[in-house]
Order: sequence, then C-alpha cells, then structure tokens
Amino acid sequence: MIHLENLTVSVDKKVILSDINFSLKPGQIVYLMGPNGSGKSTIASVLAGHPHYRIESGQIFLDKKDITKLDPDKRANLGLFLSNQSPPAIPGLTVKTFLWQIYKKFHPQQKILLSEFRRLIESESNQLKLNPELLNRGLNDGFSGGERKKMELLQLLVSRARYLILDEIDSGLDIDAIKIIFTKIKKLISDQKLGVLVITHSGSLTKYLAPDRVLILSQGVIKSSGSAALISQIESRGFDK
Amino acid sequence: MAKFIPAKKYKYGFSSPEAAVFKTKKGLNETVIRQISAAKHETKDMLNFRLNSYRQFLAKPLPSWGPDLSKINFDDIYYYLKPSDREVKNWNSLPSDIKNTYDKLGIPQAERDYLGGVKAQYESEVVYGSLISRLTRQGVIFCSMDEAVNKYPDLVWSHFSQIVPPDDNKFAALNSAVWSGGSFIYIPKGLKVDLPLQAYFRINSQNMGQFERTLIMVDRDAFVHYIEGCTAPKYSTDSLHAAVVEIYIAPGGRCRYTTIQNWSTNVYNLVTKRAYVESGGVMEWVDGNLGSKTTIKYPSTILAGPHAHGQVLSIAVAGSNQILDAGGKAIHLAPHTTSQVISKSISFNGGQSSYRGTVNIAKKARNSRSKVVCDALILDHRSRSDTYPVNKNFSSSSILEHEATVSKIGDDQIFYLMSRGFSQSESEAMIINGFIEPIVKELPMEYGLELNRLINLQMEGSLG
Amino acid sequence: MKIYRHILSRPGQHQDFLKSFLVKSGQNLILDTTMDFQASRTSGRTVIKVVVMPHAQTNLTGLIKIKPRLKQINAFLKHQVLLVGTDSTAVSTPKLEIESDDVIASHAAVISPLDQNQIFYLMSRGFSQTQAVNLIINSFLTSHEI
Repeated sequence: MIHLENLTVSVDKKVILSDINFSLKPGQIVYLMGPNGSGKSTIASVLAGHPHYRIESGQIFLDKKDITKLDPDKRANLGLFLSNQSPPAIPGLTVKTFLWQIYKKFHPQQKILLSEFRRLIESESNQLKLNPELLNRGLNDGFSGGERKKMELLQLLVSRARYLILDEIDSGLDIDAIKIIFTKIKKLISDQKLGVLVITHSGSLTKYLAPDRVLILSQGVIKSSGSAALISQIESRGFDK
Repeated sequence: MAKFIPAKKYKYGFSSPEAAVFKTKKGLNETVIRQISAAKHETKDMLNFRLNSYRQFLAKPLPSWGPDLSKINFDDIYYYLKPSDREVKNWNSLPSDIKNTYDKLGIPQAERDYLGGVKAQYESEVVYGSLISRLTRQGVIFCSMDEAVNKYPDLVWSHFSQIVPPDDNKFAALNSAVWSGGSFIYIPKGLKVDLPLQAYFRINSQNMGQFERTLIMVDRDAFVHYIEGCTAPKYSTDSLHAAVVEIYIAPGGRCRYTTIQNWSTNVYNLVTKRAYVESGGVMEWVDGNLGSKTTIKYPSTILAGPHAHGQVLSIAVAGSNQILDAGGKAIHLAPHTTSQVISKSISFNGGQSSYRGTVNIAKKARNSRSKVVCDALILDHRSRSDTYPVNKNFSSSSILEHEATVSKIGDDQIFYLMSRGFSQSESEAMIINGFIEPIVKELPMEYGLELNRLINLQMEGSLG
Repeated sequence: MKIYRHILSRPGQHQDFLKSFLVKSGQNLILDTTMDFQASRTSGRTVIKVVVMPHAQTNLTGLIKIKPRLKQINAFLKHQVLLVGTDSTAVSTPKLEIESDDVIASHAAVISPLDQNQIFYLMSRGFSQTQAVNLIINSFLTSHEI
C-alpha cells in the first residue's frame, strides 16, 4: 500500500500541498482530480521523489516502508512507476537499448535473448499503434506528446511495477489509444494486483477505467473524497462546490 | 597539381630507413636538421625543404589566440630519436593511471605492451600482412612516409607540402623541418578499399612519433578509410607532438580519416590536418580527443571543385588539467559545395574545452551550404567551455548556418532515469553516452564500445 | 561601428536585446555585442537581424560570457542575416565563454539568401517580385520570435 500521511509540500518557499492524506492499495484504482493548478502533478512528482519539491512535514510510506527521503531510483526499485505528463527527451539513448536495460534490472533471473526481447517490444509497440521505427530512435527525441505517453507505457510493460501513477494520461492521446492502454493496465491490475493512481482533470476516463475511490484536490488541499458518484457531481457543479 | 604516376610495386616487409643507431643532441638548429636528413639518406630537395621550413619556424611567432603554449621549451626536446631509445623500458615504469585504465578496459597483455610504448610491434601484423599483399597487387601504396619520399618521389612531391605549406603556422613549419614517420597512402583510380587501414598495423615503429607527416592521395572515384591512434591511453615520453596530415582527393574520390587520441597528460598535441577535395569528392574527418595536456587541432577541408563535400565529426572530453581546443574548418571555393560539422564536447573536473571553427564561403562558391552544430556539456562548476566560430558568407546564393549550446546534464533527465530505477551515476553515464552517440556510431564498432567505456571510466568518481 | 554592452549583475534580472538593421548599398554594418552574466538566476537574449542589400556588407561579432559559480543562467545569442542581392556579404562570429555549469547557453548564426519559395508564394497571390521582396524584408526585420 502507498500511504501519504499529513503531507505538506512546498516549492521555492511557496506551499503547494497542505496536509495531504490518502492511500492506494494493491489492485485498487484511485482517481485524483482537480482543476489545473490544484497541485495534482505535484503529488505525482513528490511520490516519485523529485528533488525540486521540499517536504515540509508528513510522510510517505510504500508497503510500510518510510520512503519520504528516499532517492527516486530506490523508490523505482521498490515498484513505484510514474507515467509522466511530459517525459523529457534523452537524445542518443536508443529506446530499444533503454527498454532492455530496464527489463534486465527488474528481471535479473530471466534468461531471454535480445532478439526475443526485440520481438516482444515490437509486438507491444504494434498493439499500442506506435511506429516500431521509434524503437531505434533516441528516447522521446522529436516524439509527439502521444508517442511519448505510449513510450511511458512500454517502459511500464518491461518493468515490474506494483504501483502506477498516471499523470494526465489522456492529453495527447485519442480514444482508441486510451482504450488500448487501459486494457493493458487492467490486465496488470488483475494479474499482478497493480495499484493505480489516475491523475486527471476530466471525468471522461472513468468510462474506460472505473475508479474504486475518487479524491478531489483543490488549491493544494483534498477537498472531498468518495466513490465514483462524486464525479457526476463534479461534472454538473464544477470543482468548487 | 601534377598527374599521378604509377608506382613500382611495393614489397611489404620490415624496413627502417635509418642505417645505424642515432640520436641527435637536444635542441633544434641547422646541424640537427642536416643530421636527420643524412640519417634518412634523403635527397637534396628534401634537405633544402627542411632547412627552408626551419627558417619559417624561427620567423613565425606563437599564435596570439588559443591555449597558452609559452611553456614549451623548444631547446629541451630531442628532435630525432631512434624508437628504441624513446620506448619505456618496462611495464612498471608506466604511470599508474594508465596501467589502471588498461586493467579496467580488459586489454590483453600483448596489446598493453605495445600501447604502453613498451614494445614497438604488435603481434597481429603477421595476420594483417596478407591483407596488405592483396592491396599491393591492386596498386595500393601503404608505407611509411620516410620510405615513400625515397621510393616514390614524383608521386609524393606532387602534393607533399602543397596542402599544408610550411608557412601555414609555426607548428606546421616545425613539422616540415623535422618530420619523421607517418604514413603515405596512394589509392589507385576506382579502387574502393573495404577494410580500414590502420596506422599501428604497420611495422615501422616510428608510427606514433612526435613529428609524423602523413600524406594520403585518393585517385578518381576511389575510397579509403584510414584509422590513426587508439582509445587506450598512450604514454609518450615526448612532450611535444606536432603532426601534419595532408589529404588529396581527386574528382569523385572519398576518404574517411578517423583519429582517436588519448595521449598522456604531459603531451602538447598540436596538429595541422587539411584535405583538398576536387569536384564531387568527399572528405570525412572523425576526430576523437580524449587525452593530452593541450590539444590544438582543426581538421580542415578545402572544397575546391563543384559538388565537393566535407564533414567533421568531433568529440572532445576534457578532464582535469586538460585544454582541448578543437573544431573544424570548411573553405568553400566552388559552387554547389556542402560542409557539415558536428562537434560534441564534455568538460569535467576543471577541464577546458573549446570549439574553434571557420566556415568561409567564397563569392564563387554559389549555391553552397554549410551547417555547424556544436553541443557542449559542462559537468561541474570548475570546468569551462568556449565556442569561437567564425562564419563568413560572401556568396549571396549560399546558406550558412551555425548553432551551439552549452549546458549541464538536465536535472529532469536525471530524475527521469532515476525514476526508472537507475542510480544517479548510471543515469549520468546513460545521458553522456546518448550525448556523444551521433559521433560514436560513426566509429568502427570496437572503437565505439571502448570509447564509451573509457569515457564512463573517466567520469566515474568525478560525478555525484 | 556599433558596440553594445549589457551586464546582468542583479539576481533575477532579465535582459532582451532585439535589434534589426537594413544595410543599404555601399554600406558596411559593423556591430559588436557583449552580454556579461555576473549574477545567478539571470537570463538574456540578444537577437540581431540584418538585411544586407546588394553591394553592402556586415560584420557581426557577439559574446556571451558567464563567470564561474553562477546558478540558473539562461543565455541566447542569434545573428540572422538575409543576403538580398549579388555582392551582399556577411561575417558572423558569435562567441561563448562559459565558466559555470548550471547554465543553458546557446547561440546561432544564419546567413542565407532570400527564400525563393516565399517569393513564389507571394507572387502567386498577386504581388509583384519587388513587392514580394519588400514584404519579406519588412516582416523579417519587424518580427522577433521567442
């Protein structure tokens, strides 16, 4: 379980999140919603350990381990996977090579040949309707927003995530792409009990991946929490209740 | 330029022009030069050429720009030394950082002996010998410059010192006066040599000399790829290396010249390299600079005929106490010519790397195009990076573009890779390897792999 | 000769220096700029755009200088030259001297002739060649994109 306890976060001396409390259980789907500027992406970055943000007070636990001060790579090794809203480019780092290195890191016992691995990722790329040519290019170098999002998912498929944070997955992707991605995520939820935190400002994603729980974030504070029914309230009345 | 004259057959084998064990006194003067020429049994023409060059060397001042060269003591250098006197006597005399690098790179013992300067010859010469015989039957000449001057004078003098004349700069003049060693290559019309020719496979042990002079002549529609140097650190007891490389490319010809230098950090490495390209010809310089205390080197291409193309791919990695001043030059003298320079440099641990380049598109070089891209990484606050590009466009139908960026490794990039489970130093290494990838992929694979490992090794311990 | 010097000495300072010049026949524009970064969290952009008419020349030099131990610097220098006619020539030497690592410093130089495609496009919309060229020159000089 991921658990945020009384978390207050600031950046450049300005408080962005105040006293945040929530949990994400294995196999659970939690939606974190709020208007732009509410601090949703900050929660994603803070969970992953971005050094830009300062934890003023509170703690973060992953499977009972206090990860509040842990480096990003150690959190990744514990099974945390952040799918970025705008992943950066690393020119010259070939996608294929990068995916292979992630795979080896998370599956040290598996003896798979590079050629088999290549076929695997080509097949996944095709299913995601991603041009397999991109596998030979530098990571995200010149890729469109949608292509970058699909790249995030390819990385998810070769690592061994226990908790997935999806930061604004729908921006840059069409409905068909979202459906395919969510189908794959649902499989990981049922096969591996992947816990998923969906960060979004629109309720339309719930059609493709139904939430177990919804949290509404506004101006850095969790204003309300409840079941999926909360979403139709937001749709009719807006975020400010 | 004179026409090519077919050469007589060259027999591959051991050869050493010097008749006896010989070493000049330290310092440079006319007597020393006469002694060098006499030991090599040279013609009067070559002796006069050396003497004239020496006078040019005396007349020319040190460059007023660039790294500080004032500490070079010209009187404290042996200008001619038989290789066995120059060699380090045993493995243990090598500096420990070089020995450690060899260990970590996993270089076999025989190679270490050669590369470390302990032995003058490399075992696989025997294997390579059969390749050379085949090429010789096809009309290729590949021998030391010393031999070529005596065996093929007409061919050599047709271009020798025409492309880099002695008065070009002080160090070209010095090289012209005291040159010894280096390669001479002639590729006959239409022949495309598929395997790269490598300097250290030649037996003549003066290959890695301090004042090498190389001349490559690629005849019409021919092709050759020449590789000089190696990624593993090369220890040199000589502290001044002033080499000259001249390349002539006949119409339709193509040459790729790859250098990886990793000289020990006592060396001043001052090299003048220039190619003269006729119509439709192509010159590709691939230049890797890892070592030396100071390197000054700007591979140049003169695009003399229409549709000629010149390219420089350059990497410089400057660590502590190193100044690497590198770049490229393109001179467009004919219409429809193109040039491209891609330069990647990294400064870390107080190192200093500079890009210095010139693109000059003459008025008669109508409809030409040049693009220069320089990227530099500075890894810490003690290091520095400078860029000095001179862009001259005198042709109003030609396009000249230049762009350069200097930055550190992005925090976002590091965070991203770490969030995928890679440690900070693994992440930095991946980003650096990605940064130099466009150049590394042009290197023969073994060099590329070794270069990556070597750069990662250099970075290890100096980053976070 | 025109010389411009900018020093960024206050933390947080931002300086834009965007200038356009038209060099008439027979003239020679010699211009030198320096942007000297001396404080952290500063950013500066220098963009020099020059149109060189037939039988005119320009020689542009520019320097971005960043001293050691500064943080969060963003520096940009660009020379953009349009060569309009025969005998138009330009020399551009943009320089960088960078001694801090926490920077993004870049420079660019483009010296090119009029784009024939642009001229053709405007003519296909009814403008004469002279009108088209004037339109292109004017929009080149008056636009400074980010």
